[in-house]
Amino acid sequence: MIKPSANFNLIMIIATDLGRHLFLILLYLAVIASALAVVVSTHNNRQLIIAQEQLVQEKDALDIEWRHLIIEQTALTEHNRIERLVQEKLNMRRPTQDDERLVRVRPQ
Amino acid sequence: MTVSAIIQKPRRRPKTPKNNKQANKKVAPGFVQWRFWVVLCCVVLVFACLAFRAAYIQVIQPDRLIEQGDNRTVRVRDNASYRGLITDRHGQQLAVSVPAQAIYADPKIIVENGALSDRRRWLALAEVLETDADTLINRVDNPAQRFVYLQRQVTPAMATFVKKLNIPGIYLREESKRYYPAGEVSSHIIGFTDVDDKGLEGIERLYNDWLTGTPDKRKIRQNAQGNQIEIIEEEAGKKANDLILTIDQRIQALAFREIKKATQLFQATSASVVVVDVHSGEILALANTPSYNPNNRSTVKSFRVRNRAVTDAFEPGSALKPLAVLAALEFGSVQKDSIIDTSPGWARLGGSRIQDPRNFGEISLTEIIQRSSNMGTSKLALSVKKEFLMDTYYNMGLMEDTGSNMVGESSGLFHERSRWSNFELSTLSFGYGISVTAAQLARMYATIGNGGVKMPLSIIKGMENLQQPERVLSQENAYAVLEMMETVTQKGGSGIKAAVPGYRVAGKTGTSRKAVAGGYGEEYVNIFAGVAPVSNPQIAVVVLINEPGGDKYYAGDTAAPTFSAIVSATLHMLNIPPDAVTAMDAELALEKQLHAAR
Repeated sequence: MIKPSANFNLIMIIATDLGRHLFLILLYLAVIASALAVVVSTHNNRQLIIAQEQLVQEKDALDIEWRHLIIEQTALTEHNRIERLVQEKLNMRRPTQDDERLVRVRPQ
Repeated sequence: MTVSAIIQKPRRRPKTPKNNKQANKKVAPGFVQWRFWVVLCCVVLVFACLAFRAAYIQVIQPDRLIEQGDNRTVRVRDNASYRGLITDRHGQQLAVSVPAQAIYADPKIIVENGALSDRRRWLALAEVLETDADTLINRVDNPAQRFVYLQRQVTPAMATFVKKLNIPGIYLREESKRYYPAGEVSSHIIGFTDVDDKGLEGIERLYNDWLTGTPDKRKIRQNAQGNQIEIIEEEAGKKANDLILTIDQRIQALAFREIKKATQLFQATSASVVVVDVHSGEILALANTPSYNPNNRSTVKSFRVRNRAVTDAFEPGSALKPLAVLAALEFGSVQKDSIIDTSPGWARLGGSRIQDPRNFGEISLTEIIQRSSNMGTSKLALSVKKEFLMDTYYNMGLMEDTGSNMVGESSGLFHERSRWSNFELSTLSFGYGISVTAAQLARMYATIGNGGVKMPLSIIKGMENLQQPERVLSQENAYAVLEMMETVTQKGGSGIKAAVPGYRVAGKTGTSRKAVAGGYGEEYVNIFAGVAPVSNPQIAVVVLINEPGGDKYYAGDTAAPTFSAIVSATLHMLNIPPDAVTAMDAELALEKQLHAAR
């Protein structure tokens, strides 16, 4: 047993003791830091996965909307429907030979 | 008993000041060995139990708890996979899958929860499903069953309504529904799928595997809020592929409208049209009447579903006559400017009689085609060696598949035989004794228009074809016959109604009687097949009108005007410059001459 010295100071004792095991302390701190890093990175990872999932869902929703819009568009622009509409409403017709003027691009 | 209690034993407090002497005597705290050990054992045992239990759970038998945990957190999710799109050559969508829901019931859950007692909800459900509440309840009132489809492919709005009804045991399942925005216009080419997204007809059936994808599967872990927090496993499904057809939907729509009009006007049983790009063999339009709406097939009869342009073979009649002229030219038995004597306008070949409408006398090859002389083509056919004639018919693709691979495609009807009588050969020259489909005929005309190079027909853009392009006629003869056929649409020709203002059009009418048991009946097939424009052939078009019921039953009156309307609009849409000499062109030429003179 060590006899207690005259100037007994707990803080000093702890400090000297710690000073003797600097490497261990370093390891200890590293372990703590790494543990915290694991927690943080797991959290970030989850946040990213949640964000990804939301984006995938958004993409699916947009894809569905796109499909509906195509159907609407193709149904509305069906060629025979357009032809009928322009004839009835705009009084248009297909150009005949007489309406055509042929412009030759190459000089003859 | 606590540890401190043990150590402080014996605990004797001084009772009275009288026993002061005795109290001052120091009593060393005794250590009771057996108590210590008992307690120690207890403590060790407790921890040993805990350690053993932990080891048991973690190491020896961890499966049950892992399973329980996974049951609460691990989920398998799949990304919905939709059947591939089918588009025309310009990217217009012709078949699109959209998500829909299936409503199904679990009768066991329904009965267990006594859901049937709330009749109000069932009435609402029956109303939205357009059925009777009692019928509906009968279907689900059997606890032995676990799965009953109530309705497939319902709209999202209806699905939301059913969800809000909140009947226990009634669930929704994701599925998809296929829409065909072009409706009946392209239904024969594209076909349709069944309720499980499996192709049943047309392109949908032919390329079912190509169009079908499998969903991506993800095994995930979710937290208590239902958020996905970890992806354990990802399995990429097969991606559904899209298909691009060679069809030009503008031409397709127009062609369909024209033949539909013709079918009604001439009271025909059916009609078909095929438009082919002569250089590539790509089918630009292929339509039939009667057609059907692929989006609602509940009342469609099967005869409407048939793609007649490729499945039904007809005797083409006079439309094959150019081939007899070609065979003779190729063989060398006649020249382009040869004169054939067709008098007296009829002949007896092996006991059967062939004849022209009247005696044409000595006529050129051009006139044979223009006036559709049976005598002329018979003479030409008989001037050629039999094998050579047969080879010509074979080479033009009249006895084989067109190469488009369409479902139900017929390769025509032709009876190969070793001995041919002269009569049979001469009937072959004017298109009897052989049956071809409209697609085969279109391919033959496309070959002539392509300067004698036979291309396989194709319906899928960029699809490798098994058949190779093949030169079957000399270019000179092909173009010579093309110019002869031009006279058909000119003054004095049988197909003058097929003429297209501004363009030079070559073609041939074909009015054939339909064969019935024991001879030829009173029904006709009207065909007009042609190529345009003559100076730079781009498209080959075949219009076939089957059994016209009205007063008009000559191809020159029925198929020819339809042909003209389709060709005229098609050339416009393809932006092909008019090649006929017009008044303006003549004026320009004159002006140029004047310039040169100065």
